Amino acid sequence: MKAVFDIYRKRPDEKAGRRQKFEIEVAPGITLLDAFHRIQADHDPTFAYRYSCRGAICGSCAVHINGVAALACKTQAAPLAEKGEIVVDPLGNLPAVKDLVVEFAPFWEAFEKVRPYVLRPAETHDYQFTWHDKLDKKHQDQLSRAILCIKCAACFSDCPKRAQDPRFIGPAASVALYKFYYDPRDVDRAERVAIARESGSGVVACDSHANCVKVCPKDCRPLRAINIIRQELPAAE
Amino acid sequence: MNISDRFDFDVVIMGAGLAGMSAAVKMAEDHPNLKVALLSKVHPVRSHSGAAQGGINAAVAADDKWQDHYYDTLKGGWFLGDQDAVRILTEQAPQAIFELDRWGTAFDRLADGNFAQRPFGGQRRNRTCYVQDLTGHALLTTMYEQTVKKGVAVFDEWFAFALVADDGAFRGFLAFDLKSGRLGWFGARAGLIATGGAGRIFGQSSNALINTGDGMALALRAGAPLKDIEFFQTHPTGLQNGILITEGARGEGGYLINKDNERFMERYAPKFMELAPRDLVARSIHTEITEGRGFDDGCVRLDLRHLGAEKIKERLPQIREIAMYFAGVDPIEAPIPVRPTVHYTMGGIHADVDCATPIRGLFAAGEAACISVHGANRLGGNSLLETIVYGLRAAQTIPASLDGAPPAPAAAIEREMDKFRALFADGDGESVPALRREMVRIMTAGFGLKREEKGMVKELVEIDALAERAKNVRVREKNLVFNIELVRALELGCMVDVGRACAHASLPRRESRGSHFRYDYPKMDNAKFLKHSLVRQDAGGALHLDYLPVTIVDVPPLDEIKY
Repeated sequence: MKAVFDIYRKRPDEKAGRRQKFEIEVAPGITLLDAFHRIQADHDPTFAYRYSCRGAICGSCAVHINGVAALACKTQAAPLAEKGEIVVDPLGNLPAVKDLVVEFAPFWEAFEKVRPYVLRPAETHDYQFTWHDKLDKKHQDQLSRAILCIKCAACFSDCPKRAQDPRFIGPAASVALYKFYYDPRDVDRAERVAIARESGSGVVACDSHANCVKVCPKDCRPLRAINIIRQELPAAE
Repeated sequence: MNISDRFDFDVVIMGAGLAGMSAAVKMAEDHPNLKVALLSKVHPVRSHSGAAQGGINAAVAADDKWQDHYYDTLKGGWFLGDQDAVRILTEQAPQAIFELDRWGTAFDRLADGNFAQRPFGGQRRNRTCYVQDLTGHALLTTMYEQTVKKGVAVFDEWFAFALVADDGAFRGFLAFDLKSGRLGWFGARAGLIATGGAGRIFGQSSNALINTGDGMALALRAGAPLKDIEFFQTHPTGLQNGILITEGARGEGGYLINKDNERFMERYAPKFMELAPRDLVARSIHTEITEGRGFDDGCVRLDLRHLGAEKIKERLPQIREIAMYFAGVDPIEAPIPVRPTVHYTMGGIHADVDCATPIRGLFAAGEAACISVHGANRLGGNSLLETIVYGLRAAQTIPASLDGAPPAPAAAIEREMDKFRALFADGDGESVPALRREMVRIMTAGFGLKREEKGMVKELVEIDALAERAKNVRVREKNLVFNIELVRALELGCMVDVGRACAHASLPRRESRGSHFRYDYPKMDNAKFLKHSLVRQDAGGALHLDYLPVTIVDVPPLDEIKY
């Protein structure tokens, strides 16, 4: 069937973008990313977008599809085309560079704010410990979800709190914080508590809109991670 | 179009997947005074290492020993692997796992605290450590976290288009920044190529779209030979669009079924069944399909239903997700359509066990390299292992090799810049998408799963002709910022060079060994072909084929591989 794509276009040297429509034949099985490749190959070689794995594991191709952040490679075109024109825009909360490509720097800055790595590994490392067993079911489940995060920035893009307050680290960085907050290999819990509690930027600033849970292509449930940390934060001194 | 940035590093690493990042992180840890840069055309977490699902092999169990892993790897590689290299790979594997654990990877564990290990093809016991079914993703995340922790200089979304060597020594890379359009010269005392494989030359591939053999081609053009580049592993089970369904699915007990509802592996490998080595499973599926026992969609079926919903959800969540989103099938309810898919490049840049290439100061690691640990066929779970073991090893051998820092070779740099500028010359040129389609057709028809003299002779002529046409590609858009047209044109040039080398190495290997299966020479021939191929490209673009003996230490090669 025919699909009409209404796509945001912007040259790197332009301030404001414009829109352009492309008509593509889409059989079942064709994803939005497949359609982008066809537009680039057959209609406009200058069309710019990010891609790598085309299998929903690298996190490159998140864009706004009909106003909601999603991975282009994981979105079938035909079912959307049946409903009408497919409106494609770059992610929100990040500056546009060219067409669907956005500047990721603010996303990575927020991510690095939570110091996303084992801060201080235990000195004598015991490779025999069962670290999942040190956690209850709730944490085992949420931790396995935290590992799934592909840093596609879909949640960051659609976070109303981040739009309102650019100090807020956003959902993905909160998931990373969660991952290390509960890692029994990391002996430095106090640092994590401080990051979580930081006024404006920490998870305490989240307004619980829950868009992150809806748009996450890997079902990481960032708000759940945020809520668990918030509930378990020790009382402020 | 001129160079706007000139960087001066001790070591520049091209490629920021697991091999490149392992090297960078370890160098930052052990040699903090060295100036090291990571150069990658995508952000590190977008690298193809992240797509590896199943796991990473290591003899970490108390009742396992590296010698068994060593033998299984040699046999799985049809004895083309160099035994000194395979020994390093397998002996150092447990240490690699401990290092990853220390850096934060959450490997799945058994109730007693030991690493959980799943069975993988061609190995005599469970030896594959894993993180759910996204082991590569978990490792890639860990390594990226470590680059952040150690403050490694990452030039992400910089596309390297030339490797400059002068007087037989590596001098640096030319690259442009996709985000800003700036052109940079990255001069360095040593370079490490870790750009992964080149599966994209076959089109139907499980490889990420970025796996276009860039590093291999740059090294080849600079004078480093590609070794064993005729060996491309075909994964038995890809979806119709090439997305991989990991061997883990069979490891957990999945069945391969033809349209007559037979578990047909019984005919080909009664002992190992679905867990026979990949090349055998791939050819078995190929045979089933070509002999009319495939389904109407040109696939066989991978049936997981008997595992039950709970096990599929718990152990294979990513496979389930992939089948649902990319094939429209829920494996809890229906079997998954699968067919063979080009998966892994065993060959690569000729490098020794220290990752050193014949170009002084140029090193290679991971899938881009051929240190020769996989031989003619790679075992599942050994690719992630190679990236870590040899990435870490490069972090020792490169600093030890560094000598003086000669000034940038202006003339050689200018020659490469002229080639780059020529892409933007006025006038009509060849179309990138059309040439790319033609390349995929040639490689699949001549050098895919069915290799025989007649077809290869024909397609060899075609790929050489295509390489000539590829010189006339033109890019119309001159702004370098996210210039996808330019990226595709440069990638095409790389793919054609690697494809051509593969073609020239494949034809004269008149035997069948591992992934290189000749219908006209179905037997392995140790007398004539127990040797590595080396394809070198001279300054005029002509290819020269040589051979190199396989390093045998303590395991006499078998004359027949049976499972």
